[in-house]
Amino acid sequence: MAPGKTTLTKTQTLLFVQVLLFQGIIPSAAASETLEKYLDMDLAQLMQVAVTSVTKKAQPLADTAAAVFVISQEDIRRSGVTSIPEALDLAPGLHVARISAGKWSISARGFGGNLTGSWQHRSASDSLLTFKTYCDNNNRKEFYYEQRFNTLDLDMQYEFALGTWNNLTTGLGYRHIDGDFVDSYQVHLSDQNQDLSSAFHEDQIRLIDRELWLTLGNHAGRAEPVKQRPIAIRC
Amino acid sequence: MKLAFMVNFARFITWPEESFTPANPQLALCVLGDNPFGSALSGVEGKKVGDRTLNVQQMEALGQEQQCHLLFVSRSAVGSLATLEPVLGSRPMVTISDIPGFAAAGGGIEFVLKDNRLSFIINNSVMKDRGVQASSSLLNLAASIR
Repeated sequence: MAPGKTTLTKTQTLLFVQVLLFQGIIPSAAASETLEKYLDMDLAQLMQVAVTSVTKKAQPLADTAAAVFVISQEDIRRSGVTSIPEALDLAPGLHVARISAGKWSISARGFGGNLTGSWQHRSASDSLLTFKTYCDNNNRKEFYYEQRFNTLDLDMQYEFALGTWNNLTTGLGYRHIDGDFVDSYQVHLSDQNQDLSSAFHEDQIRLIDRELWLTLGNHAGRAEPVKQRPIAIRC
Repeated sequence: MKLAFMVNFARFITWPEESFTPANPQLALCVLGDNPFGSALSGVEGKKVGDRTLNVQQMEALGQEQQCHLLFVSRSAVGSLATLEPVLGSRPMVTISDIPGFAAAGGGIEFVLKDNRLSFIINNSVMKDRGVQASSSLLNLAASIR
């Protein structure tokens, strides 16, 4: 293990997972959706509550199968990561590169300049077809290094009803991440290229109208390994 | 969520005094068609709105809506939209629905999604015709006013 590297004990790891769950990554999911809570809010506050999930249906984030990427304790244990930046690297939307023993570069898509395009078609039978493209360019310039990340996202989603009780959603996604690091006298980081593809399928079955649903979700993903892992420090 | 919106709407809307009778002093929130709110609907029964308490009623078809102050038209009752206007006449009632195009079709308030958030369109001319007054703060919050 590299000197100076932060090592998390088991208890800290557990704590870390909770922090991710309840504060950082998915704040809306943690809040329980009770009527009392909503009744205590005034209209302006109610209008700030996000109601759309990954399947673009009005439902709380916590109820969806593929809504958010959660780094679970199991993920952390299995992958053998020992620090928070390494754990964050497990999430597809975050780019993590190590600059030195104690320095990390973490960037998330959506913080740079980006272009979004979407096309939606609702057919007479109430099925919904959505195409989305997303292009993100993220530049970061520090005195000791410079990085450029380009992300291209292609998403297709098809939502349709099967009978009155079933609501099926199928989606395909492809993401290409292209990371360039401009070396400085201090740091050498090799460039990163990664292709990610994913597919998900969700079936929401209404058991009791407006009260009980059964959601079956299936998520398959394929990640081309990052070509050339970084980490070489020049002195 | 929509239920909480409706309870809030009631706080911003003034009904004429004559729409409350000594026998029915409560503010009636009615749901026409299937109840989309589940058990939450009975949860708002008895809630205070100003100095009135909420009374919740569910009805399968038009006919018993005389006492209603707020009438939520469920998607299952989309078929009764055509007859809604003539049946309700100019009674002081606020009709609310999440059926697309509801406000344009003469409904009072239509729920819409705007930037992934629940919002609403107010058909203020319909409200005025019915003798119901929406406060300016409610109109200010609306996504659009017809």
